[in-house]
Amino acid sequence: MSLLDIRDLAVSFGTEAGRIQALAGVSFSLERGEVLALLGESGSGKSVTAAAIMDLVPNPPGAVDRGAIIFDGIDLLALPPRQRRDLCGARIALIFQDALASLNPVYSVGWQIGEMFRIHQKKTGAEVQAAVIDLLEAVGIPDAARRADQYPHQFSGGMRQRIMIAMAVALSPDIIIADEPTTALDVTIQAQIVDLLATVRQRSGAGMIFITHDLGVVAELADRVAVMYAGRIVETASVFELFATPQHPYSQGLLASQPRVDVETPDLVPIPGSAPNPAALPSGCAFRTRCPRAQDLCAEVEPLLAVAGQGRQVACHFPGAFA
Amino acid sequence: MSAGYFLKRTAFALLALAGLMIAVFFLVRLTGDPVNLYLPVDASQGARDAMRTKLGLDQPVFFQFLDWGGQMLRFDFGTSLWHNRPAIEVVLQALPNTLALGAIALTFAFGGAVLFGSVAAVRAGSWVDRVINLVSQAAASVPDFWLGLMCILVFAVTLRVLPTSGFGGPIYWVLPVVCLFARPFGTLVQIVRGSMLEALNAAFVRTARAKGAQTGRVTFVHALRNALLPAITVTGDLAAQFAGGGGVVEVVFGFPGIGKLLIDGILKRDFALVQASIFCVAIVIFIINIAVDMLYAAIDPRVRIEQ
Amino acid sequence: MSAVEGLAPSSSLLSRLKWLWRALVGDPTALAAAIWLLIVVAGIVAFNLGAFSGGRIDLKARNLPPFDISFGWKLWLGADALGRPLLARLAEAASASIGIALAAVLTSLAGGLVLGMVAGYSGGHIGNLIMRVSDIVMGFPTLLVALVGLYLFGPSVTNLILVLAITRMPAYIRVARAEVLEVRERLFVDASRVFGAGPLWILRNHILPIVAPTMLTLASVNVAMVMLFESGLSYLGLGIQPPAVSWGLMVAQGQGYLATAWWLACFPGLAVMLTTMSFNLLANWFRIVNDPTQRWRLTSRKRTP
Repeated sequence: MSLLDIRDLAVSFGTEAGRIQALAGVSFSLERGEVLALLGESGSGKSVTAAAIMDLVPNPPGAVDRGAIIFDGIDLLALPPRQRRDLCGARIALIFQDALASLNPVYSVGWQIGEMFRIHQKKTGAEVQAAVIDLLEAVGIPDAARRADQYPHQFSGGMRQRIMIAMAVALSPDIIIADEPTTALDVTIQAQIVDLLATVRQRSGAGMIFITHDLGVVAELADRVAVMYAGRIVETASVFELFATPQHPYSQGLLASQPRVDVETPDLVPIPGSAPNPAALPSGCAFRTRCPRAQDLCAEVEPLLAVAGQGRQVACHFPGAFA
Repeated sequence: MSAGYFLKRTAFALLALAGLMIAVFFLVRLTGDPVNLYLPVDASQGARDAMRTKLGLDQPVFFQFLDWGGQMLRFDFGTSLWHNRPAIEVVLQALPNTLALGAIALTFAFGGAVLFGSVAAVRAGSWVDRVINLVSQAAASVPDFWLGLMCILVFAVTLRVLPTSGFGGPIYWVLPVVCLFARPFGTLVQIVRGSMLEALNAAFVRTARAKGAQTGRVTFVHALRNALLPAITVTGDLAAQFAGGGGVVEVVFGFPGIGKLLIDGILKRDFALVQASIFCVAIVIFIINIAVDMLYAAIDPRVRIEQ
Repeated sequence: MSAVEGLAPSSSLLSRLKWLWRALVGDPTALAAAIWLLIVVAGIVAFNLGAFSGGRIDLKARNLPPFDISFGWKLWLGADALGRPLLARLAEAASASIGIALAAVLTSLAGGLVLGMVAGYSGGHIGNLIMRVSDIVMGFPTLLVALVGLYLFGPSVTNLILVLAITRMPAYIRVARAEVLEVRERLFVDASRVFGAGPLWILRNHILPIVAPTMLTLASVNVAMVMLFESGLSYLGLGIQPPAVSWGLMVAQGQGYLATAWWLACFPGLAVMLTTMSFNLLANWFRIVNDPTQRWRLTSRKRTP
């Protein structure tokens, strides 16, 4: 049984222009101990997926239309809100992109990390303090005992992200979801944080969903990749297979647009067009307006995720290697 | 808050206070015959001349200023013509009443606003929110003296459960507190609701939910402390308004506070009383401002001055 | 995008007005507020057109209780000690109460704009002085300043308006100055200065459009506040003086009859409350309308493409 099994998850938002599908039937799974990368552009629905798992979709204006989220055999969507929040808080951790905004400015970082213990394990006082200091040291914050009493605005960006990570792994969760944790950081700090995440995950054996649009990080961390476009999963594969032989035109476009240092390429090759307007998606396949091999069929019938090899899935009428 | 900062604030405030009193000194002499401020409008010329000599207003302005300066430093604001006692005494006797009245009314207003504003924000858009909104808008728009009269009509005249006016035990405080409470309550509910809504949509609240905190904890531990900051600033402003402006309610109920003293002084043209009242009110406002700053720093660590 | 542009997606004046109307209907309390204000304005107009005149002092109608239509529609809200219909008196007082509030707010607005521009544009000592003085004025209770001001200068209508305007001015000065400071930094202002545009032109084309919605929201809230202050001052006897009349003064005049003719004090005060509330509600509505992220609450019906 998979650790996390998402089946046909659909989420929509009400706006002035009508109801918009942020997720249009997303299905993927996460095994124990594996790192799954959710790869896609802004607006493809990656963050909404994370929010939907953790019951953070603002309602109104958002709502889960249909689907199932099976975590360790339990259907999260069927749980009453209180229990869901309890379960998700303790066993699934979410690391956000903007650590400064995501930490409460009026409480010390030690207090905020300690809250994990106070909420879920009803520990108090000295026990919590000791555990907090241990955590801070584990994520590489020097002088942890003193800094635990300081406030978020007194730390640098990289440090704050480490604090978020400490908060996330406090209760040794089964799944760690990292939502673009390095996007707002300098490149050198990025590398440190990615390293830290890898270490942390290895030590705990947790499964990890890594949300990003950065192919370099995917290559370094991920075991498997799920590519998202316009609220749909368009391809899943192991990381090696995806980089070596991408099947979906979008994945191919993504990889082809990467600047390379080992091959001489005079020009960068972007994917033509721009991200689709979720309120006005093309009929049939959402990618067809930017696809080099779109046919009439693509405008009529939406391609569904279909098996395309061992552990691979593609949602395309004409998948395959593209010269 | 460091001692140096505190001293600087005090010095600045004293300067402002001195400036204020000096401005009053000169304004009084520039806007017509100062004697008019001490006598009824229809006083005879003889009475005016007598008063002028008595107050030393026939002296050159420079000497008047020196005399006046000396008096100010001795806290001698003159004798109240109406009470026949030094004005400063009369004022200091009334001051505690106003402070108590204001403090009680504001405490209820703040507490009530935090409660109802939070509820309205958590249930934004629901009928609870709409009702709270309407009631608070009404409360914020009510003329306090009219509310006082209506309360007197209903509770004192018709139902006869409360006294119409006067001073004494707790029962004489009920209606004045209710009337003073209404407008700040209305205003503060709106503010708390607004800043709670903002706080509840903040990223760190999302983090708290992701950590597994239930709604109560999210609202009252995470969101509220951030939302209180604007409410405290406004409460400070309102407190300052009360220090000198709660007068109308005091007049309606015959409540012996500084506000009533000031208004009576103005209506009865008792300038010594007015001058002393202005001085006391200014000091109270300064103290309130410092207290608000300290409270703000206690709640928001970003504001604290590092040692 | 200026508030006026951003007000509606299409650009013609008629469709903008239609959109505003839909937004108004979408908020029932704002609509009620607008209706009440129209009633008040109608009353003022009716009074000035003489609809209530021809009522000689009729002592038979002394202290007539309200809600009795048998004495004619004019006396529906009762009559005062001299037999004058309350409805007429309310309409007459309305012009004073609202007129003074509007005059004071307009003066505040104009003065605040000018002083704020001066403070922001010239900066340095003048700017600092203006801001310090306005801080001090803002720190004092409005009623206190108004009372002392009227005491010193005498309770005339002009003084009343000036005193109320001055106590409210600091907020406008701040907004204007902040905007001027920001605009001054922007490149395109330097460009227009290069082209010889004077401060007046910059004011009209760069500053006013951005500052306008904030100022207007401030103004609508201030009208409400000033009305409350004026009614308080008139009640105390330091505002409008008889034989002129305002709602606050009417409450004072009715106070003596509280036990016997309650409507004399009740209705004028109620009028103040309803009018103040209407201005506050409309100010709120205006703020939501101007905020692109909140607008959808008012017009959530889908538009046909």
